[in-house]
Amino acid sequence: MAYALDNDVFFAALYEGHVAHIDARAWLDANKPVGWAIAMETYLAAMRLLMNPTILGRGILDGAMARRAVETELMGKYPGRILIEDKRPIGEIFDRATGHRQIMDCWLMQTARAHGHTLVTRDKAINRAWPEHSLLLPRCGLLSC
Amino acid sequence: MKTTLELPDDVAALLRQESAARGGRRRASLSSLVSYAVREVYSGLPDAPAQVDLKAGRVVVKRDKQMPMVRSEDVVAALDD
Repeated sequence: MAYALDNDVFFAALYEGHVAHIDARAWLDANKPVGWAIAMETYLAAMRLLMNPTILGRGILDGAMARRAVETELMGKYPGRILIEDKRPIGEIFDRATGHRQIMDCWLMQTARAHGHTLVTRDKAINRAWPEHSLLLPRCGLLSC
Repeated sequence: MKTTLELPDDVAALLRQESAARGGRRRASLSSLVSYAVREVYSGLPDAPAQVDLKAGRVVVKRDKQMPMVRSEDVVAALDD
């Protein structure tokens, strides 16, 4: 079983100023050998966040560096895959959404499931909704961190 | 920093509305909304982009004191804009 990281967990692994950076970084480093991926949407979300002054303040990166940061993370001994889902949103997942902010989460869940990946998230609601297809990011020092 | 701001009524009303729209004060406190707005408007061009440790398979964007700490809620809000 390989893992797909959601937008928040992937960004937390990259940015030292995310409150979950230590947990996400340690978990990702430890679990890359199992197989890991991000959806294309997560790739783009990471670039957006790295270039957003409300997130990085005056430390924002330009497009070239933001893309390089994501690409470099995907390299290495255990490279990450990019998942692309070409199906339409399915009712089994999307009909459970109760608010607009859940739509991207639903899409990431559909994408991860379609490729046989477990979605790693910090969102307890996602984990409650799809416990068999998601993993709540463990706190560092617990489980496989 | 703790401080006291005197806000015009319309600004205070906008802050309350925005907080309610984002799920209430637990999810979007007035402090976090003011911080967000100030960063959005006054950050300007970066004077010093963040330092980035680029090691194949392990990237860390370093945070200096001028850069915000962010929570998952901030990430969601930023991607929601």
